[in-house]
Amino acid sequence: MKRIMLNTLIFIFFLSSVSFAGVVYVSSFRTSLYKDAGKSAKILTLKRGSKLTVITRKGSWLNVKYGKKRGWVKKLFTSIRKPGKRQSILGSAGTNARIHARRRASSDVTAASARGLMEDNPAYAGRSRSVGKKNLDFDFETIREIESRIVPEEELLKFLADAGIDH
Amino acid sequence: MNNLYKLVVISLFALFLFVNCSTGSGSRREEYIQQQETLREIKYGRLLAAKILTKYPLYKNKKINDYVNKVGKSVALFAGRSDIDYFFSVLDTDSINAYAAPGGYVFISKGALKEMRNEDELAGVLAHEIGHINNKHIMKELPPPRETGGFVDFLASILVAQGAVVSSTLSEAVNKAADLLFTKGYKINDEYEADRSAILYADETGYNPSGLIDFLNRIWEVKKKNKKTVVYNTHPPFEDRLARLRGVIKAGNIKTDKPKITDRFIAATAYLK
Repeated sequence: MKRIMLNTLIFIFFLSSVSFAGVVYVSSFRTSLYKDAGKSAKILTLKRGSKLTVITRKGSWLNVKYGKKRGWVKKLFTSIRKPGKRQSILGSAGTNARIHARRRASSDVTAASARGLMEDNPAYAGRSRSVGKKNLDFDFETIREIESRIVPEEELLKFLADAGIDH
Repeated sequence: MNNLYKLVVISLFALFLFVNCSTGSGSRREEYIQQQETLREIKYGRLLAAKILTKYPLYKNKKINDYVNKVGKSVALFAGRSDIDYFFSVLDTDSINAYAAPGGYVFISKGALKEMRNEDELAGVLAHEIGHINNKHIMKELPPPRETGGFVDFLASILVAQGAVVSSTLSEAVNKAADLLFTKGYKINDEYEADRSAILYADETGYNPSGLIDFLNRIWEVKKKNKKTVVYNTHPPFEDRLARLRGVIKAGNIKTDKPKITDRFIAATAYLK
């Protein structure tokens, strides 16, 4: 009986380990699946969010299975969590309309919980020195200017390609 | 005994299902918590970035800022997190440094840009800053206080509205984080981790991964010639950093013979004053 119970425990432990540590997701925009660890021949390109089953680990590399393909990926560009949707606190006060118009609607999560926590709310960051509308401790005006500089992914790929970096 | 065995097996199986459903990586609850953590990080980093800009103003040249932003965002596209936007800007100071605030805000000084010779060096330095953000170094060392959202904040908002000076735990945390960036510096191992990430990020994006090494070598020479020059004064010694960076390249068998992007860099930074 003890043996049966021990076997059952081992089986459940095996199930747990498969479901927790056995799967990773590609976290970068694109990364490569290589034949061997150490950047050998590329087998295929993996997109962000691709689900990989981990077989073994070797230093900073993971031996993984993707569909019927098996190969190596760099651990740094994977995550045990599914890549998160883009978060933004620019959903209410201080919203720059241009940012919202250009951001992919599908990846934008409305931050309802962030409402009322922007810089115009004293409970957030308003406990600071100011002269008129100008805040002396935090330069939010420039931050808003910086945050308006959204560049679409296609434009970035073209920017790299123009310099001879093709993906 | 047979019944006891059944009971144990059923209990263990139920426990397995419960644990899997409640803490599994794909659970909605975990996803929600993760989103809230990201928002908390962005709010904190945004405040720190706004604080940095009161020490060093933004360099008022749209062309250079747009160029730096594109180089940084290109690296972040391949090396960055999908849950945040990254913003890269130039600070109007001749000191040689770069700063990263949680949530994706990265700054590089005009002085650092002046010492660079190609886009690969710029990409390497920005990749190092992305490394600090991705590895959440400030979030781990100086995490922002949890928002109470209750009576304390409500009372504070009334006092502020009446012109009273109210100490803010969040403002205090931001001040400490600014002190870390400007004076204290990151933990030495955090710097090495950001360096290691930078090599791999630059390589993954397609830049020559030796860009960061070339730049550090050059500014080390600048520092030797003029000890008064403010150069990465919060970072570990150059010798150690360079040795470790070369070690990362050697250990990863990373190629450093990619052509460097010089012409576009020179054209973009030609009017730097």
